[in-house]
Amino acid sequence: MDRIKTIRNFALPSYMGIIHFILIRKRRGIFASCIMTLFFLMMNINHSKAQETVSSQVVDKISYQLFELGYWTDLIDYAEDAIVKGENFYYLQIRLGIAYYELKEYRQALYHFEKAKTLQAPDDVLNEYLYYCYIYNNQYEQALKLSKHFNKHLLDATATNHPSIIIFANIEGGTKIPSDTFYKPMYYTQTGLTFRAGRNMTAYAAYTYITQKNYYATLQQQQYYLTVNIPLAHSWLLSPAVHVLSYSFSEVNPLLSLSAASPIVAGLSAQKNYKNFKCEVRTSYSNLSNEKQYMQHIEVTHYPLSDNTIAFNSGISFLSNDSSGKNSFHTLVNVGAKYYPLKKLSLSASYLYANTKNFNEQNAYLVNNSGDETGHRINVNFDWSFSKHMSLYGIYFSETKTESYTQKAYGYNAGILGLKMIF
Amino acid sequence: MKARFLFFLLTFLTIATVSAQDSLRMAFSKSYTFEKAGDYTSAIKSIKQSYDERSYECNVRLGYLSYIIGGFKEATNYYTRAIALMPYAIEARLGYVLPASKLEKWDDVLAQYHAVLKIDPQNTSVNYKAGMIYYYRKNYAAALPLFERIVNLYPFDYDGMYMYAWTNLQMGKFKEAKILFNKVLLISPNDKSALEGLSLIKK
Repeated sequence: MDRIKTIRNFALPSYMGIIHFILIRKRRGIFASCIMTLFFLMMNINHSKAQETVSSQVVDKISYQLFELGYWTDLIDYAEDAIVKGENFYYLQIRLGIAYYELKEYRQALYHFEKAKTLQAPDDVLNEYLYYCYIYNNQYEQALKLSKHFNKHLLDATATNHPSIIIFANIEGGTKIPSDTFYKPMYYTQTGLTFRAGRNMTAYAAYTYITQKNYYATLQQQQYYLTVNIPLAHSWLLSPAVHVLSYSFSEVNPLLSLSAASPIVAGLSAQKNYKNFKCEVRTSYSNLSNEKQYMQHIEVTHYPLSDNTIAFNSGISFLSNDSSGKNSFHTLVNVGAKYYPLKKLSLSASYLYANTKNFNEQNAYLVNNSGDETGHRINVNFDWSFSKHMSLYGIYFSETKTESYTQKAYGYNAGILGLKMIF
Repeated sequence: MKARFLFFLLTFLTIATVSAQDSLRMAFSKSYTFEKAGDYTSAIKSIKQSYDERSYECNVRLGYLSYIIGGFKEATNYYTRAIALMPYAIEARLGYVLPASKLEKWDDVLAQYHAVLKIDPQNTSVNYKAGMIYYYRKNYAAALPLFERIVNLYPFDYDGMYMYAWTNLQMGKFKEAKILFNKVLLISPNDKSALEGLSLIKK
């Protein structure tokens, strides 16, 4: 990275003198204005050139000096102010981006590098910074897309000559323990694989097996999930997804008639990163419980520190359930937070208010096809990267349910433990 | 044996100290040359190469040069270190207020002014600047004694008298303000602001 720190401007303008600027202040009447002017003149008696007009050359000169000295916070203050005043050129955006990058504020850095890209064809320095910003902002697909245009030198520098086909694999298992004796614990296992699909795209495929003994039957359910992440221009990511469920029953109560079925859930997600925010819109169709569901969801995630250390998200979903020509509408709300107390450990918590059934979450990844309504759910997770290629994660959640026939309230406590291998 | 060891140790320490001082002197010399040529970046880099965070001089110099190039936050950091190293010096405190006022950290500026006034209560410039901040904040009661001190020290000074008159007027002390505006007119006979002040009193 030392190499890209050496960025220099095309030609430094000749020395313009000591330049200072006085931040624009609101005029507060003639008298106040006069005395404040007098005050500043006195304070800056030795720096009377302070009020020179801010021109591109001056901005270039000062921002370059601050950049060269590594005065990152000063550079950010100065350059942001200059941009507000209408200055906008390639090297100003790059310097600003590098200042944020050096302070590990990768989201802000990315914003300015992308701005620079719109002003001039990117050079190796910008491409390399952009690449790492995408990586640090978890936009791997965008990084792959960008690397397509790298020259050999940069491909070597970023080790993107031959990106790995398999990105990571995971295996997890757990149990859901009901509070009601009507039900027995549910056992769950899943294995998944994230892989590269083409030069730019990634895909995630997962297989899930669930079994649960109930008072009326024993359920066996298999699930197949596939999603593809397609990077688009301007930090957009499009992700179509499909989830096929296949369940059957054994030991069925003779008074009941339960049949096997294979419902599907099809989803489409579009997400966009903008500065410290990520916005995602999702839509899905499903035919769970022999009914048709249409679901729309919007979610906003805020990264207040401009990196991934802390994130807050909230979302709202609108579910339309079409049952024999009768429509019912439900609103679901979710909020969550994620925090990295250590570089290799993340903790997260979320809350969901549903009060309905037959809905899906996370772009059709989680499917709630139980005949019983889900009320609330509280979820806590951890993810610990205990080695360069391995991480251990755990999920605990507690949810409230309402039994569909008797309207009896009960709940589940669930624990899942998983292992992720990063290639 | 012990005496010989001590002798070598003392010789070594003396050489090391002299060498460090020489290096610092060279760094300052280079820095002044660069500053004279208008190359502030190199002037800063020269000091940074021999930078010792326990050196008051290094911190003050870097604070000043950083301020010159617009590195206001860095400048306040260097001045803060200098203040911590020599808390009874007013020089670093007066240096600190320059970048702090650019950053509009007026509470910090006031805190430094009060610290200076504790050390040097008769500092006219600081009394005036602190008074101006209070005046601007419409805290006339706080501004008044500061301007009063200037007027007591320099009764025929335009700036002090002028602000003292306006502060009295703002506090509703019309009788005092009238006398003071008339004194301003003795210093500056056709002063528009003093005449404006007097016209406000007559109304």
